[in-house]
Amino acid sequence: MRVALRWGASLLVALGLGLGSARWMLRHGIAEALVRNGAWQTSRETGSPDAGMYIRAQVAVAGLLALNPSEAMYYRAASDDAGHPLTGDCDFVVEGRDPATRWWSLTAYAADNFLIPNSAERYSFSRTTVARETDGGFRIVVSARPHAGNWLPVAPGEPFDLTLRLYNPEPALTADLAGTPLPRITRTGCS
Amino acid sequence: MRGWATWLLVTLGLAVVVHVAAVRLLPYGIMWVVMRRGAEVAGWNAPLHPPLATSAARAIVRPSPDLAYTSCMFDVRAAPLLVSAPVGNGYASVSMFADNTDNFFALNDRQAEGASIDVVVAGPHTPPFDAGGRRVVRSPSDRGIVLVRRVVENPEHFVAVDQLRRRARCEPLPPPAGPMRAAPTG
Repeated sequence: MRVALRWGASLLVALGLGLGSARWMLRHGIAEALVRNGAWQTSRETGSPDAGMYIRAQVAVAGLLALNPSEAMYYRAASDDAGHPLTGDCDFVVEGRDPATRWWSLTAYAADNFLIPNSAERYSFSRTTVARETDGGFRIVVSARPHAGNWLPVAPGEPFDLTLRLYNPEPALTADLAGTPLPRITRTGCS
Repeated sequence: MRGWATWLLVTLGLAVVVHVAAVRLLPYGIMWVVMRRGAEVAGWNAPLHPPLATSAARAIVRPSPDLAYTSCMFDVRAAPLLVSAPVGNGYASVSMFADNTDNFFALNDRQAEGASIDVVVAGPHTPPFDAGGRRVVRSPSDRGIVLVRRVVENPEHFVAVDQLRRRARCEPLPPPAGPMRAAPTG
């Protein structure tokens, strides 16, 4: 009886440790494998048959059916340029010029990795839907409160993140993922 | 004391096995769930044209609301798969994913040789067959997902894109009429 209890406890502890550490690695452990560009992060291994087991599992959980880097790049931001976490308690501005790619889109996602419900039914802006500034650049307000112009709604009080999709990126961009010019993210105020 | 040391070593060893197994098997599990759900709607080796993604879309994480998708859950154990996707003016691509999530093939409209992207998908063990002169891609797994992406440049553009995507084909390759002429190229 004591032996059964001892090894039963061993199995339970091993399951807890194994699954818990796997979950932790998928949430925090792949940070070193990511390329950083301001507030944005990306990976050359996304969708690639050469991806390590952690990147592959991370793609399955939070980026299923992502294209490999030869076809598209995916940048993700969960904070602004100053490191403030993206949350619906605050307003943020995403501004810049078109990245060096054939087509791009900027989409907001809730913590559950799905689109954020909102009365405007607006989930993203793209190269072809964003309103331009006089200099050809763009300025998108990400906020839980309605704004004039390019307003990307998020849920009040809830964390969110932004994904920048770049289809058919130019060689100069893929050659310098950490340095290529990307939109800036700035917190402008909190409620 | 020695008994507890053995217990600790065995437990830690088991934990490592559980950790690696969980991380390695997770992609297969998630892909299987997505393939099974898609096949329940449209069947295997048949195209599915979901509406533009909104917050109500819960089938696949992080959908793009700017893309009109066509998906096809494939199973090439019985026969190779014929995929044909007409292309228009905007960005479009055909991509293929193995049962472990790997994107083993992608071709976009600018790389297409004609007015459509035409590909035949063979399985890892598919014997030589006649592909009718089409490009042949060998999937690393018998089952997987074909995904056609089409950019919807603005809401008014969707009607034209939707008409175009509904002309896509994803079906078992018809048997050849004549003698065998080609083999998969990988």
